[in-house]
Amino acid sequence: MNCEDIQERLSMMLDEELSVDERALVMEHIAACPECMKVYEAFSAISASLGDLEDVPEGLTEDVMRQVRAKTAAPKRKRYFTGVLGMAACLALVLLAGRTLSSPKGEMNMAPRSNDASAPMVESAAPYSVYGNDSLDAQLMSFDVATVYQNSIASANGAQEAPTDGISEANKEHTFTSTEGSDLPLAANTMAPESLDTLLAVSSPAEYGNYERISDYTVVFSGDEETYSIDVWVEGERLYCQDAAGNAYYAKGTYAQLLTLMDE
Amino acid sequence: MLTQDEQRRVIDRVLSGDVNAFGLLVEDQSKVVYNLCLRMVNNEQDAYDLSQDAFLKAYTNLSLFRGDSKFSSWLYKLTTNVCLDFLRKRSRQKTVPLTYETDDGEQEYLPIPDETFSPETEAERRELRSSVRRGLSQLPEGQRQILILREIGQLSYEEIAGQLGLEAGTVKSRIFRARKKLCDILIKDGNLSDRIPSNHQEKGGASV
Repeated sequence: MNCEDIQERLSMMLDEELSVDERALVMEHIAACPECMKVYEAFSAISASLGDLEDVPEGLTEDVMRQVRAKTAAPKRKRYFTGVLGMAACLALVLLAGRTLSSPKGEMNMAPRSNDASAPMVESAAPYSVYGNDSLDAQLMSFDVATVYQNSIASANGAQEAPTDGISEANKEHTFTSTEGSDLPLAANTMAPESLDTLLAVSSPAEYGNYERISDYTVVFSGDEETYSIDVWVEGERLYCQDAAGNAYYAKGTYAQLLTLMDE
Repeated sequence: MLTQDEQRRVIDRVLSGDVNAFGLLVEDQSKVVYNLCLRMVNNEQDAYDLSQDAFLKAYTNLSLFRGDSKFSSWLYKLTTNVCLDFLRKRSRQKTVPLTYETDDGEQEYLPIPDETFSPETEAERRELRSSVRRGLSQLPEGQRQILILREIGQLSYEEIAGQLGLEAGTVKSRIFRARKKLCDILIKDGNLSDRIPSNHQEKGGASV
């Protein structure tokens, strides 16, 4: 093994990811190699510095719990329509990117206990079962309606073509405000949640945060008291999705299928 | 810290409607969450605000946590993603100045001279810590996220891979590259002698 290989293993050794035998090999090498010994010292020192945690400023727990209680106590009403804001001509469409806990539906999902025993344990972070389940989570099917908002004109190679000014984010809510109607979504189609169950099901997990720009589509599942949204970006024919819980994945459905759905 | 079972029980309580029980999870995890934010955005006030955002988001989405990973893994991923969103939104709005915040909250522009990698005194340790933090904030955000999930969140390669939708091998090599890059940054910014070999050796003939 050359020094580059050893140094890679030094990193793994620090992370306790080396077997006993490999550790011995590495230690033997650095005992005789000053260069690699220095790298080991450097990596160790960096680790030690990073692991040296700051104390939490006073009041964090209290501040968090105050917000949590406020959220739980919030009056239950449809969150995606609000009244006229400010100027009489403004129309504000508020999409809440997340669910509330105000009404447990009785099927709160602690999945491993109720999962089919023959399905392999899901390692990925996708909320939807990747294996043995071709459709979206049953919880999403329990919403009353799904609305697909088109935010931009995704061209054949997924490039965005519509302006996104005026789309601002406040308190984790996407607010589409319109002074002259130019910033509203391009289209909004309402449908039964079941229509999307295979389209947006997970094909494969993906890295979060691939895009800085606003998504090409936003799918909002709404019920009496809660909404849940998934942002979708078009990549050629593939659909890259991010949900409110910070999961990202490629969907089973294609862009063409989504367009067909929007045309219905 | 709470064990995984204890965390599980608390989560069940919260999901059954015991809002205040969530406070137990916050107390248990606040130090790590705060430090993850601090190391991602390098600003105490922002880190404090983002910690709140992360916990609130975790609360809101608690029913989506499947229990097929550790709660803390899920929480830390969520936290670093909240920070990533913040950083990307901020970089869209303005140019981020190349300053950093020292322990006293001062904005420093110039690098601290004369660091060593084997601190012996408390002062040296503090200097090194400062430099490492500054260097960390210069890493690309994606590398920063993976490195601190490992070092601060203490997640294994597999846990990080599972949370971020990557292969374990990818995680391993990104962590290695992040550490090497951090070394390079520290050497470049400081007045390090040739103690540490890097990709751009400034002086030949490293001596032991």
